[in-house]
Amino acid sequence: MKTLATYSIKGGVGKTATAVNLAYLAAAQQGARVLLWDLDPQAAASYYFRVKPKLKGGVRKLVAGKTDLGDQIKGTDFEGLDILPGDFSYRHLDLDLDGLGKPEKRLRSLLEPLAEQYDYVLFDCPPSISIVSESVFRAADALIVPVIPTPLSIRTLTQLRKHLKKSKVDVTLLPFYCMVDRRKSLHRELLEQPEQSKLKMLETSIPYSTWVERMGLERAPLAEFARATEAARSYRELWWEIWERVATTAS
Amino acid sequence: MEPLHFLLDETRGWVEDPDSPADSEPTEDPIAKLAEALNPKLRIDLRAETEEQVVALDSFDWRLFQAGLELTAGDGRSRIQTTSRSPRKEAVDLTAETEQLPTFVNDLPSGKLREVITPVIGQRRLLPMASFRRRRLSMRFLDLRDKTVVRGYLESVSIEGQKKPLGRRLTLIPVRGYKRPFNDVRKAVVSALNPTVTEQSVSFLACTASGRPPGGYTTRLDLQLHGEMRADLGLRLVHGRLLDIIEENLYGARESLDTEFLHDLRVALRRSRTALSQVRGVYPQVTVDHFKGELRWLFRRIGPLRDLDVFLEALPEYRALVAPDSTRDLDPLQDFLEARRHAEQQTVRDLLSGRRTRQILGSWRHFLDSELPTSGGPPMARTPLGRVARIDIARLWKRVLHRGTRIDRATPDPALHELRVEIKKLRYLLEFFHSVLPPEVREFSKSLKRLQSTLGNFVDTVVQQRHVEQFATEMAMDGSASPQTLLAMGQLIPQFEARRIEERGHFEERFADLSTSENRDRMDKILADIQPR
Ligand SMILES: Nc1ncnc2c1ncn2[C@@H]1O[C@H](COP(=O)(O)OP(=O)(O)O)[C@@H](O)[C@H]1O
Ligand SMILES: [Mg+2]
Repeated sequence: MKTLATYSIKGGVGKTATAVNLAYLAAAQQGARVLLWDLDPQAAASYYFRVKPKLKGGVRKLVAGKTDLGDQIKGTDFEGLDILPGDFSYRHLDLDLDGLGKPEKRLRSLLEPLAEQYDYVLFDCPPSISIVSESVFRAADALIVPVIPTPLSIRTLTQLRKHLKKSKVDVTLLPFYCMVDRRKSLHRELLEQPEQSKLKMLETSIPYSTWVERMGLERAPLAEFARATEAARSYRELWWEIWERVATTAS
Repeated sequence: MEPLHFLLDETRGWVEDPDSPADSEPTEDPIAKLAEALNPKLRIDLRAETEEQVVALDSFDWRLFQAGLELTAGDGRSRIQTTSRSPRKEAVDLTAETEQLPTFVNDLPSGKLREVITPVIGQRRLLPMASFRRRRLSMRFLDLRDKTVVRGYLESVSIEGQKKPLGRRLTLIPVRGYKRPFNDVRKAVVSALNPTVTEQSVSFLACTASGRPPGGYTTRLDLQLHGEMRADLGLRLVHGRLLDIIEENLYGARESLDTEFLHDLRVALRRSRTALSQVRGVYPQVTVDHFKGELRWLFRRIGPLRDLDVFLEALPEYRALVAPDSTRDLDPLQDFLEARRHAEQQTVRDLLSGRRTRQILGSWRHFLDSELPTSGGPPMARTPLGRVARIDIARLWKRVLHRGTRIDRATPDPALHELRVEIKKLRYLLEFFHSVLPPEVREFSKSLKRLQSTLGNFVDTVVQQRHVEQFATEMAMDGSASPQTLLAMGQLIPQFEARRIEERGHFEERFADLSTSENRDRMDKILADIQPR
């Protein structure tokens, strides 16, 4: 089982859109068994998959091991793709984790019983650096980080890299550009800068596309209703690139 | 929760006689009926329909099926899956590209699928057990918020060469976390469609409908006889089952689908002959004499082909026995044997499809099915089977002990051959009648088997050595062997010698194991107690 997470310190950068599409592609295209874990109290990922954002007993009992995680998992409309729904109670997850011993190792140990059932677990994280994200860093084999090509976003990526290095977390960082709009001179300039290679971005980038926004209306991954679009194609390529990177590292 | 499978057309022929006249296509649409029953809580969203031609493959004796696996091929792919009652710990579902139907394991591309199959199948041939066309309509069941809460598919299957479609099978697949709607759909299926629940795969059902029920092949007798039954009836049951085995293997042996068909057929013939000659005074003497001759005739005709099969199967091992740079020199021997096997195969094909064979087996069946004599008849015919079995086993046991004890290191080989034959007979009788004998038979048979295998190895090396010598002479005469080849073949002789001496060295110990006082006690018990278990 490989554990991945879409993560960024910033909100509104495309974490959830990415998580939903990649989880779908892994299951539908590759036949992998995938669990998407919606860690966001706003539960956008659950919404996209038409699953009620509700955890029986709330998240506190879940992380304390008092409710069975397996019982809370829901199948999506797509074979091989399950979701652990978000819940409003996730807004207190930091406190809940803090109340437990070794909070940063918690998520990893909760996943252990699922190792035989899934090929991939993908966390969709809320934006922040917190106990929750520390716990995700330690559970994940790789962090998929959407970066909008702006100087500010790029700086947060550099900060994240430093932070991970300092706290000695062993996790692969997979940043990629997203919501790229080639009509914007800022985007163009940044992408063509000679400093680029230092950022170690993935090759694939996701363009800015109204089709991605439409996902909220359709309540489905892109490939289900806009398969032939550039955005859908980019997500497919992104998944293959990530898959290659992850497949070659040990779990 | 596991997927559920329902048969929708039970009366229309999953198990019915496939040759009965074709019905018209069923008119009622199960999906419409089901949709009506689910309305308004759930609705059915029909998805893609696919159609494929599938062949179910297994060895003649269903090794994959016995191991909880199912191999299918079609549309350029082969697929291996675990069956519903698989003894395997982990579920398997693997596919591999195969342009043509695989016939042997080596026809499969190397990879996982082949790795799973190889230890089960070995060098046995993969035979097509059923060939069918499958249409599969996928569907999902949506709740009021258009969320998929159950998945499913409807399969229609028709068997190649049968007029009537076999039937339809509906499968419901639970979606994790949606137990209640799954139960709702299950209940609706049951009440609206009145189906039969099944655990069997389409492939299993297709094999059954093609007259080849999976796992249906065994050379075990599996007879439950009764010690009090009249001996002639008991013996006919044994012979009848052996004749079944002969007939089951006839086709495969004739077409040379796998060398094991001929082997099993030959063993069944040998056992039949033993039951004829060693169970005394039960059938009329003229009958015994007549069929002894007939079965011997058939048995001897197929012997040469079996010998060639055995030799060819052992050849890779023999290659390893000669000096490395002589290995290739054995190639002409392989060619010689294969050519010979080919010719011999033609002879056996003609023999097994010929009138004489049909006549022998037909009149044998006729005798076995004929009325039992109500009075008079042979002396032991109406004696209880348990008693007859005991008398004949006692005679053979005495003979085995007698011959065995007289063998020492100086005894010439033929005495060991003869002993081996007697032991085989004794083992067969214990097998035929074990259900009317006390449980001591099992332990006793184990020692017997060990001795038999030592003697078997011994005799086999003698036979193989003789074969090599004979092949060498023939190849030298017809000019198909160079001096190098003859020398390479010659290298085998001392190897056989060494093996023969080694096996013979084991004999005393094994025979001592058999004739321990423990085993003698066991045999006394077997012979004293004629009550059925
Ligand atoms: N490539 C894209 N092009 C256009 N809009 C996008 C794209 N990716 C995401 N969005 C939109 O941006 C908003 C925030 O995206 P989301 O994935 O929810 O971000 P996050 O999870 O990081 O908060 C959503 O309305 C989404 O539809
Ligand atoms: Mg989000």
